[in-house]
Amino acid sequence: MNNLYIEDKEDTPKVVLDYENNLIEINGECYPENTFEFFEPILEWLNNYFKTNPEKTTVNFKLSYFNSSTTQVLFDIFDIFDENNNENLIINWFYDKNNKGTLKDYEEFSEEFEDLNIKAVEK
Amino acid sequence: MDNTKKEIDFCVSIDGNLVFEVKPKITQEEIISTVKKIREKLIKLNLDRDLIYNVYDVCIEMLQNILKYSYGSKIYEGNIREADGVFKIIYDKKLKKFIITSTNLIHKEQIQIIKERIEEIENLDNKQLRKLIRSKIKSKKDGHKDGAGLGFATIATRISEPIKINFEQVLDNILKYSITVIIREVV
Repeated sequence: MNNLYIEDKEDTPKVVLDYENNLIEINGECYPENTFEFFEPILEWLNNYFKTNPEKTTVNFKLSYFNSSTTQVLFDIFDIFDENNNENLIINWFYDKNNKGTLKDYEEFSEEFEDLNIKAVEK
Repeated sequence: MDNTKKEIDFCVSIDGNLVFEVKPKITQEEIISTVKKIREKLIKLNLDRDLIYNVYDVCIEMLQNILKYSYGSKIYEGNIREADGVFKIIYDKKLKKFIITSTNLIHKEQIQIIKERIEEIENLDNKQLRKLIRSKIKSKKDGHKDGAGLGFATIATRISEPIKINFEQVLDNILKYSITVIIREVV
């Protein structure tokens, strides 16, 4: 399986989907014009990745801002995590202590996906 | 201009008869550049980070709404969109509030959808709005290729007063549609 790297732009985050190191990282702002187009390869990669039954996976969400269209796709991503959840899946949600919005987002996702091990990490 | 107000104008030019004449056209590129400038100005005003985040979010949602739903918007090669619209953000230092407005043309068929979306968020507090957003995502009721229809509910979580909308007929099937929101420094 190949790794997938997407460089960040002003309206899209840097994406690191690293099969060899079992690392999934999304970092930056996200409000693209065509949200579903942007996330399509990411969703496809994630579905394929979990089919390989990875031993341990670290997910780092470092999104400093995302718009409402992105919220929907993030739910789709977390649905994939939920379907493949086990004790080896660690999800870190990075938040800015000076920005309550990013902490509220964490609370939202951890409430909705209560079976997942989502840790809030201060930036 | 009243020196208690800071205005950040983004495309304001309307032909009073039939159509908007806007320069520049609204594109994703323009949106990126505009919200970046707005954020820089707000940071210089030394405003609270949460407030800046709320204003930034509302600006992006409103500008992208113009881009996605404006009547007559065009999609060019490479899936690049371009739309006509007016967007204005005013910061009233004295009253410590932001007034953000957007105006664009819509087809009359969109009125009902907009009214329904506004009605469903009326009188909801922040917790209820977040619950609504989650249920819409899960049911994908209002979802489409551009988004989940979460824009109004998301905006409502950031603002201090109910969203105001206005429709004005300009042609048989075409209306001028305006949305105004207010964000206060102390919510």
